[in-house]
Amino acid sequence: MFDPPELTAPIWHRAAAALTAKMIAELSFEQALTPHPLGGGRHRVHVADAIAYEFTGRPVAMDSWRIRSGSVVRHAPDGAPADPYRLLLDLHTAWGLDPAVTALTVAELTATLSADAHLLATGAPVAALAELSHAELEGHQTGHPWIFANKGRVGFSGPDRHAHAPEARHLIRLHWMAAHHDIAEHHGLPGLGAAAVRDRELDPATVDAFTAVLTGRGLDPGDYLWLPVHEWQWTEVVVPLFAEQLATGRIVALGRAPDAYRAQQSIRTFVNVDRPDRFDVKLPLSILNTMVYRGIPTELVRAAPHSTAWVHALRDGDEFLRDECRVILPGEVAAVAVHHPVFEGLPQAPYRYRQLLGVIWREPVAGHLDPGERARTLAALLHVDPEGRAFVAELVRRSGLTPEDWLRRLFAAVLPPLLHLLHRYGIAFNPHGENAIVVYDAADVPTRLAVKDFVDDMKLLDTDLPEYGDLPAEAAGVLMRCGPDELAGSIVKSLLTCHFRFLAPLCEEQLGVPEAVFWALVRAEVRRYRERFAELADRFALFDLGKPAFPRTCLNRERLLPGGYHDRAERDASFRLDADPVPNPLHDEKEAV
Amino acid sequence: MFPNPSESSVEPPADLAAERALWRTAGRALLARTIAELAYEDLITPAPDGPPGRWQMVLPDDVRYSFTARRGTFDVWRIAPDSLTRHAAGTSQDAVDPVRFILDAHPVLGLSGAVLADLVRDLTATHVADVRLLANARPAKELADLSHEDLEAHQTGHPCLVLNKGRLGFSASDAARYTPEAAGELRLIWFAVAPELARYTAVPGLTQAALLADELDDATRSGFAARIRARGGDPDTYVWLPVHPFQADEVVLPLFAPQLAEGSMIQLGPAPDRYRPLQSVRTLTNLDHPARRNVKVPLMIRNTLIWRGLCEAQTGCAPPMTTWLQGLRDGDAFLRDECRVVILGEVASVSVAHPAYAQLPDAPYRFHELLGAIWRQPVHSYLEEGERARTMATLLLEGSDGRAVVAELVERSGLDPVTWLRAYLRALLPPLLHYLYRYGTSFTPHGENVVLISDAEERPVRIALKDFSSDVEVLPDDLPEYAQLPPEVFAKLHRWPATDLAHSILSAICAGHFRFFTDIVERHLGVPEERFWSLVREPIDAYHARFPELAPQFAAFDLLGPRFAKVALNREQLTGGGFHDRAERDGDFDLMHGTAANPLHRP
Repeated sequence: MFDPPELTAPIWHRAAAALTAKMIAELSFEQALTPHPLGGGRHRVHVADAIAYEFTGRPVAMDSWRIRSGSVVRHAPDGAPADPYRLLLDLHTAWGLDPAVTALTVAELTATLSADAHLLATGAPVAALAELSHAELEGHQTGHPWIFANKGRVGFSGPDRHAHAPEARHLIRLHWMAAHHDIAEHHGLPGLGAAAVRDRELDPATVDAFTAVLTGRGLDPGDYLWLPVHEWQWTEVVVPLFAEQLATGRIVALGRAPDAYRAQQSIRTFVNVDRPDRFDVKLPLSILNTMVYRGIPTELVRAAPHSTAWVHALRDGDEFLRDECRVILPGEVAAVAVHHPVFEGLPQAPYRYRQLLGVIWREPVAGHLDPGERARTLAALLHVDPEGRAFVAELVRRSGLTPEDWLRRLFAAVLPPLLHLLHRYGIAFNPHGENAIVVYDAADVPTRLAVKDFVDDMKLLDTDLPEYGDLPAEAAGVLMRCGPDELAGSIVKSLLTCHFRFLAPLCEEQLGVPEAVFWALVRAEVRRYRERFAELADRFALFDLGKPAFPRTCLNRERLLPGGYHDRAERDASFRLDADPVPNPLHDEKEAV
Repeated sequence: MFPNPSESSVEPPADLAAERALWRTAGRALLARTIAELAYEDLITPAPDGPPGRWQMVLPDDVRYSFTARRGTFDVWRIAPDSLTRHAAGTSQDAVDPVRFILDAHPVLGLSGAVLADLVRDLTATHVADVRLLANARPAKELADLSHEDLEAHQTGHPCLVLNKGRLGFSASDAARYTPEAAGELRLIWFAVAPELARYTAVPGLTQAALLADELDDATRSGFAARIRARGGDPDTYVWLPVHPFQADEVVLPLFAPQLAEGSMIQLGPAPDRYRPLQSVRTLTNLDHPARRNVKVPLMIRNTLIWRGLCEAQTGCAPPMTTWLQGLRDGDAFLRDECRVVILGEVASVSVAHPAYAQLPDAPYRFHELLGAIWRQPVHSYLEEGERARTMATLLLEGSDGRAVVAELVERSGLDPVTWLRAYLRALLPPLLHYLYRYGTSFTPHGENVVLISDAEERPVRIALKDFSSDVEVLPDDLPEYAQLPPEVFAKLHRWPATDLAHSILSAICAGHFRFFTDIVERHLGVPEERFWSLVREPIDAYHARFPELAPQFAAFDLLGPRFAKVALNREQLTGGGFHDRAERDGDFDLMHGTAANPLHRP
């Protein structure tokens, strides 16, 4: 019987109080709510007729808010207390939200709170977390810092969450399946053909056992590509939707391979625990989480190895990236796409139907580390343990450096490679907290950066730069192209808005580094880069990271827009919300960045 | 460390060639049904293709389907599956793929991308279920020997709807465990709910304590009570109810997490009895204690047009409706002594509101139907010595030997087919007509809601009716009998004019059941369609003669009029609101399309 022990009133109320505070803070950042000071650190937001919420908190950089968990009080004629549901229902009334979206949001909030309750009940102190490997630490992360329904995982049942969520911290073994060449394609870097990947990822005994499954059914193993498949995807999606292919032997279940894996924060990326030299595995999972369904479209599979090869070649030919930054770019080195013969021919169908089955194999970060080095996602720096201690404070303590020195080293590790890829090559990653991985030396001092996700989240400029000359056609057709402002968004949106916006006040509270100092250190690092590469002045002007303000993205408000965002044909169909620009913390007239 | 390392519940077929053959056979039959029903509802229009009996569907991109078909009442198409051929790009092949047909025809059908994707999904699920049925098919003689419950695993689903086993929400392993054709067994998970969130309703005299004493053993009850006390609750004031394991995992545990955390809801665990689903998937029959009641529970799956939850209002109405319908029967000599109609009592129910969704009345209706239960008396508790019960849908069933079950039943009865059919129609129609004419009350007597009861010689003698929580409708008039209903129950009933209530006979029985049964009767019993319809008129004429004082009602309901509005379920599902997210389950459904000639009409 699935009966989660963390479902107790005290834990639930603590999780709910924190989420209420986060909702008000982020909706205030997104200008959906407007805090008015009441004095004494108390603020009030008007939500609907005769309904207001008051809280203890403070404004911080980038129009953002720190709100103390448990300080939120709701004032309304019905007298109901503040909680995430009550707040959502108040917003529903006030804004006339689409009832279907609100209903789904209730479910996502509940899933998020359930996961938060589990994290609270099982959370380890930061001193213990600092000893964990990159893959293990992922099981303690609390999710997207900005989106409030950040662990919605629509499609997972209660037991599914217990089995598959990263915070469940299970070791799992992956199922493998065979797909006939008629409906599957393999793409890999030179030397990573289908057979090579298979022999690298599976032991000979497993290969023999899987081969016997095919021959035992009278099938020719040479006709098939093999790939791992998530257990949930298999039973929820593959068997129901690929029923004909199963009935006709074009898809065959092979069984579980013996290696143990750990789910990472994205839920559908897995790190091999038994054989750290084997690839990380990224799998499609048709659940809706943080705004999109998590499938793998065929065109990304085709592009991944080519995109990887291109970026690796740029890095290997660039002394700064290669020898100074020593940036790690975990390659998406091989991939398989399995086509659904019907849905892939229906461009008007919701996008989730066109990314059902495939795999991307990625080089593990661990394989690139020097002895003594340790890798942790950038997101880990925002983690606060159940006792209220910040992980970043623990790392600083262990390093023996002053907080300012440590932050200087962090920015020196993180910013130069991203700035260089952007300015020198016109390449933008999406270095949010999960895609950017900080590498530390044995003393937990930040030394360098790893960045991942080369097809799904990598963008190029919409005009051709000379640096794109060697871009393979397979990648060129797939990588997103956009204007310079949006490319610069890889820094201002993914890094500043989605991470430093939260890290700066946390450092003020737990390390005693005033926000102004934090941002000055960031600006100094940017300035240092600009001085070093003065010849890129036209690119600095093009991307203009120092302008006074940049457009405000409103993820939570987008999430609440009417019309069933989850049924669109295009995953990234864009929408615009009216909001003022966000003051840019990189802008400083005196410093003239 | 490894979570439940259960191996995939979906085993590969041992014999691939046999599996391929089943897939094709089921696909061909589903394609024949697809074309026939879409044509019946005027979504596509077959044209003559040379000799009489040959037809074709000309589609865009030079694709054409040809087939042999007989025509029947209501201008239906009775397509020979083996004759189906797809012509494209100069080649002709056996047409065995209903999904291919939908892709070929979709420009004609004019479907949106989202509907098309959903349609392909539901069609594939239906195809998979049909393969499972085909793999377990048995000859008519064996089917006739099966109990009511065992027979349910062989029923083929709603005859009018093409996508009749879509069950959106079920994974492959759910379908392998929880569908009627899988004939599996499951244990219900019990929950206790604080009284402020739950409501228990029952027929007079059936307290919750009495119900629980009937349904759960002493040991189970005391174990559950201990769990409630351990969480600080009072076992006697908490309301207990069973939950389907799918619903527990997918809906209750995820969505009621705050209530579980706060203790206003307590998971009690599985009770030992094993249950099996009937055709509706969410009504379950007790395998270990057949005398215990059937349980109807909500499932958040979308099947045959709607999400299959249990809405609070209707759940609460079931017991008072039972009391009322049984009271009418008990006070009416015709229903009681002549028809001896059985009203399968929905004797108790529990409904539970979700605190957040309750405050969101305009949310999609499936969010208002998350948790509840209805206990229904099992059919056999009403049977007399020697009587057998089978749902009326059984009469449409053909065995693996190609023989109809009804042919076997007629043979066993020793009656000639016409005499058997007369007995069947005499059992079926009079009680429905009497409720309709005399009490202004209609059921939805489709093949699953009507249970046909036969005597020991397999002669039809009477019927049992079920499903009162949502499917009973009344007139807008104020009949004195309506006043016997509690006002809050009466207020929730759908009220329609007489010509609409007449659809309970004309659409549910004539167009929804006899439209298919006439084909069986003609092929397997040798009784021509026209003869069958004259047999149907006999008990109606007899009823009219017997109760001349109801003549104004006969005119108002107009069962014998020349035409009636045609129900077009597939049309509504595909081109209307079938895949919708509206707040009202039945909001804006427009099930009618055009009219059909009434085979009961005498010019």
